[in-house]
Amino acid sequence: MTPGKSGQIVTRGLTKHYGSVQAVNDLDLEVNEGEIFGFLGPNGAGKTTTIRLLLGLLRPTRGSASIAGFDVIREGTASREMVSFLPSSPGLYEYMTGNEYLATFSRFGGASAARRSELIERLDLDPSRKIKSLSMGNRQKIVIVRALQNDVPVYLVDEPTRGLDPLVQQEFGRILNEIKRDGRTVFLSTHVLSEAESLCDRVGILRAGRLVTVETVASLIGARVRHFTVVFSGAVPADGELAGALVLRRDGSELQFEVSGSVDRVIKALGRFEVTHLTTEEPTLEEAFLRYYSDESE
Amino acid sequence: MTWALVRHALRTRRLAVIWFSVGMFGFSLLVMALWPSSSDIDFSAYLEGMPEGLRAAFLGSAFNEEAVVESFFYQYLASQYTTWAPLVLAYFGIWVGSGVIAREFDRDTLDLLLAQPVTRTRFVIAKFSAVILAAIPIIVVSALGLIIGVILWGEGVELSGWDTILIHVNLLIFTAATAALGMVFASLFLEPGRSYGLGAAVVIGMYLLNVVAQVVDPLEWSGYISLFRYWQPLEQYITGEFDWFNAVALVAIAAAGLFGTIIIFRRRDIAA
Repeated sequence: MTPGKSGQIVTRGLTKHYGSVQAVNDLDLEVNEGEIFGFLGPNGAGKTTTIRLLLGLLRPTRGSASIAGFDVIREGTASREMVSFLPSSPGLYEYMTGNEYLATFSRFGGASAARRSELIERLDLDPSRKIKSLSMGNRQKIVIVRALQNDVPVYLVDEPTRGLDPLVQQEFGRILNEIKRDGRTVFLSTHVLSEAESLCDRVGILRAGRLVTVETVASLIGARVRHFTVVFSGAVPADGELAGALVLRRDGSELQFEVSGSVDRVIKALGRFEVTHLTTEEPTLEEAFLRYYSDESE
Repeated sequence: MTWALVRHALRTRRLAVIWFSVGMFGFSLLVMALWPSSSDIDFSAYLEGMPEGLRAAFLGSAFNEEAVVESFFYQYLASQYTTWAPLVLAYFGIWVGSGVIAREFDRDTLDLLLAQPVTRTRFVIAKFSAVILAAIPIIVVSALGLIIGVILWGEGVELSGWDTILIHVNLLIFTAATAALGMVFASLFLEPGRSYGLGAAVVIGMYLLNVVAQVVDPLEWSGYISLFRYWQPLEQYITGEFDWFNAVALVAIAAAGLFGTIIIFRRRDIAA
């Protein structure tokens, strides 16, 4: 599942301190070509600081970072040629029309007019209007088109779906997946876990500036506890008859239990009984994510 | 890429350029339109009645020169035009010079611009170039207004067109120096309010320092710290020679400001 060439984004011991505040600490990360990498964490975890370090907007306290093999400080111009940035704060010129704004940044980044038109159509954007008259969602569409119109190997995307309606969010997801299929890399910083779950191949979870884990979404979710509720028409299994299950509650013919890890043994054990109803809750990335944060408070 | 940045900076400031140009054209025209009615006033007596400091403020270092003392028109021009024009252009220089960096920061567009494949040195040079290009039309129409005004209302006035052009070349360099100062403050603070405020305070301080330095002998040296010390338009009219010393001094100040901005800005963290 992990896509091809490695090292499109590499950080080694990347650290940024503001006085005594440790915004990012010893970040070791490697994001591959053809991958959507989710960078998760609540507000203030250091996600945006990491992106700013990757863009050379901040100088690291120590450590290094590179994009497409170019060091972001020593070879800043070359590394920024490889990247397009979609920031969390829109950065708009209110007095411009959408078209003027997009054309301005196209002159900087060498974007193609055809790609721009395609994105405008797909996101259902009217770029002829003044930006100051646009709704929050339409402003965000302009920001998205501005960033994605550039033909670059790496896209740094920070909280991209703010203000977008669900249909546009879906279309945005499809566009990111196409970018991935083209072999490009998307570094998606978000605290919207459903977004990361549906889009990302791997995620890194950041806590207080430290990377606490990097895993594929599938393995992160797969490692979680699943809850089962089963109704039996005949005998109800006794404790110990369902290998690997921890029984939580018995209520007549109904049994509630949870399984950690693989459910294979439990399913096979259930086969020996007459089951009339079975429900299970799919573990979510949110649960996995919250585990890392509940560990912190314990 | 650099030219695209220059064009972009000019575009973001085009309204300011239009309004300053209209204002300066109207101002220089008005100065000359009022000349016929002012020529009846005994301006020499009016100036002689002033304390030396105030006279120096109006006339610059040439305030005691014979040609100025004898020329009623020079006195009028100095007190009504060449005193105020650099103050307006200094305001423009500080405001736009700070703004090309600080306003971008304020509207969150600085991140986007610096995320482009451009070095910070080129970014600063592009922005500085844009400020100079923006100042040119303002200064040109200001000079034009003066020349047209002399043609329309300056009966008996002899004002060299060439000297007027050279004076305005100096005014452009003066504006560039103030813009470089504004950019230093913007690269230090990033916030527009602090950059404009401190820039304006420094310009006013320099103006006052220049006045004080001309009349308080022990403080004469301190005048050289002031940008206004290097703005001496009446010398040009009196001698008819381009004031190379002051022009070079202003260029050096602008270059030092630009260099300082580059040094500060290259190492500056751009934090939201």
